[in-house]
Amino acid sequence: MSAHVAELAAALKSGEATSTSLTESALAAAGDLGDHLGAFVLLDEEGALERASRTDEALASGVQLGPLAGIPIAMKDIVDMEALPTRAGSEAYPDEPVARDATLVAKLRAEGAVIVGKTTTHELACGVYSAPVSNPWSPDRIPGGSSGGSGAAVASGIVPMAVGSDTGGSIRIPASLCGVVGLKPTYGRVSRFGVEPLSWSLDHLGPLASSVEGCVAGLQAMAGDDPLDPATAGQPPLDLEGAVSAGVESLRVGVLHGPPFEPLHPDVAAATAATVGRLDAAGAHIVDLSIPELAHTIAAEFGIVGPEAGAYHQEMLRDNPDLIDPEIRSLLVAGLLLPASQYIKALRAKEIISDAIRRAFEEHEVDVLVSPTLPATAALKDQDEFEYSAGTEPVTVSYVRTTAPFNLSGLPAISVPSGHDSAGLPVGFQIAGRPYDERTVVRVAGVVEETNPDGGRTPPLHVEEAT
Amino acid sequence: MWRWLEVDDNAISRARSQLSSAGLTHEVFDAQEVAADLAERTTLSESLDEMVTASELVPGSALPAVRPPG
Repeated sequence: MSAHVAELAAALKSGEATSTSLTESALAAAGDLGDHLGAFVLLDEEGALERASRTDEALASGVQLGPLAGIPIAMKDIVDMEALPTRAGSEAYPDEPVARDATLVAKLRAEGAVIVGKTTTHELACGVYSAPVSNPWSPDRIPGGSSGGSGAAVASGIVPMAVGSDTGGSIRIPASLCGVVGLKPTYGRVSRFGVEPLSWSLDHLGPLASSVEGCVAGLQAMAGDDPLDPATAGQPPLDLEGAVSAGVESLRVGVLHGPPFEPLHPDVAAATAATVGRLDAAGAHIVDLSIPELAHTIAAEFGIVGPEAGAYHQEMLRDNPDLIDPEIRSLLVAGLLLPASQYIKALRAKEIISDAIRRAFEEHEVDVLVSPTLPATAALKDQDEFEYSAGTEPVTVSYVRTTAPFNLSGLPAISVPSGHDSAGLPVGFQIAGRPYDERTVVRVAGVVEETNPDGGRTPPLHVEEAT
Repeated sequence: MWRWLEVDDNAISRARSQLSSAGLTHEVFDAQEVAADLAERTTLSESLDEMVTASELVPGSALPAVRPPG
C-alpha cells in the first residue's frame, strides 16, 4: 500500500480494490516492514478484517460513508480501542483490554475507517526518540516522537493515515522527521476522552498522513463536540471542503524569525527560505516578524508538562517506579515536587505567549504564521545534542522549541514536507493559523505540498521498495 | 537533557522529606539526584520571572487566545 487516502478511496469506489484486500495488504506490511521498523506494538488482525468485510458489504449496498470508508489506518497506543490494551509505551501499564473505544476511535469507525493496529509511542507520550522505532529514511536515525510509530507507519507506506497526539510537538515532530504531513488542530477540536493524558492543558489529538488531503479526511472524521471532553464544547464547524486546492492568492503569510526559531541548521534554513519563496510566487504576501515572548517557550512548556504529568502519574510513581524509564521518571518526580507557584507562573506564561501570538496576527494582519517545523533533521538514535553555530543544544529541547508555541497557544498547526537536507533527510515546514481556522492552514499546506520539488520521493524503507 | 547542579545538604534533606511526603519511598528515588533535578528545573522556571510579573499573575490580566476572533 503506497497510495494516499484519496487514491485508495477511488480504488474502492471503482471496484479495483476492496477494503478487505487493502486491509490484508496493510496487515501484511505492518507485520513485515512494520515489524522491521518497530512501528507497531499490536496488530488487530481479526478485528480489522471483520470491520473491513462489513465496510465492503456496506459499500456494495450503496451506503454512503465518509472519505476514510474502508481505508486501513493506525492508532497511537495511548488511545483506547475496545477489547485491546492501552499501554502508552510503558511496562508500568497493565496488559488488560479496555472496555470501550475512545471517542475519536468511535468517530473514525463510524466513518468506516479500518484500524489495523496500534503504533509505538515514546513512553507515556513524553519524548522525541520513540525507541525502538527506526526512521524509514535512515534506520540509524530516530523517527521523532512521541508519535514515532505513527510517523514511520505512514512514511513507509504501510497505512496512508495514522493518529497521533501532540503536547509539545508530538505529531509535527515525527511528521517533519519522517517526511509526512502532521496536523495538530486547535485545542479542543478533537475529543481526548479515552486517551491517556500527558498534560491536559496542552494535549491535542490529530492525524499524520501521506498527504495534506489525508490529514483533512482524518481530521474531518475525528473532530467535533463531545460531552465527555469539555474542551470540545462550542467549537465552530470545521469547513475544509476544497481547502487543499484553494491556493494562497492574497493571503498574508507571517514568517517567524528570532528565538525560538533560531538557531537553525543551514540546510533547514535554506529549505524554509525556498518554501517561502514558492508561497510568494504563488501569490501570497510575505511579512517578516518576530514575537519576543516566544523566547520563553521551553520554560513555560516544561513548567506545565512536569507538574500535570507528575500529578497524573503519582500513583504509578509510588507503585511501580522501577518500571518507568529513568529520564521520564525524573521529569515526573520533579513535576510532582516543584512548588505550586512555578506551575502557576508557567500557566500565566502560557496566556501571555498566547496573547502575544494573537497580537502578532492582528498587528501584522497575517492569516498564518510559518516557520521550519524543526531546527534540524532526524538525529541519530544515540545522539544527545545538536551543534549550531551558536553552540550545542539537547535534541529534545531543539525539537520542541519551534513546535511548542502552538501547544501553549492552542492554535492549529501543520507540518508539511518541504524538501531534504544534504544527507537526503526530510525537512518540514510549519504553518499555524488563527483559532479554529484549520481551513487557512490547509490552504497554505496544499500549496507547499503542490510546489515541493521533492514531493514524489519515498524513503528507502517503503512498501514499494519491499515488493 | 538536564545537567546536574551542585546541591547542598539542606536541599538533599528537603528532597528526601518531599519524596517521603509524596509516598515516593522506593529505592530508585535518590534524594541527591532529585534535589539536583529540582534545582535545575527551578532555574529554568525562574527564567519566566522577567515575563510574568506579580501583577500578571492575577487572572484576567492577559487575554485567553483560544477563542475565535470576534
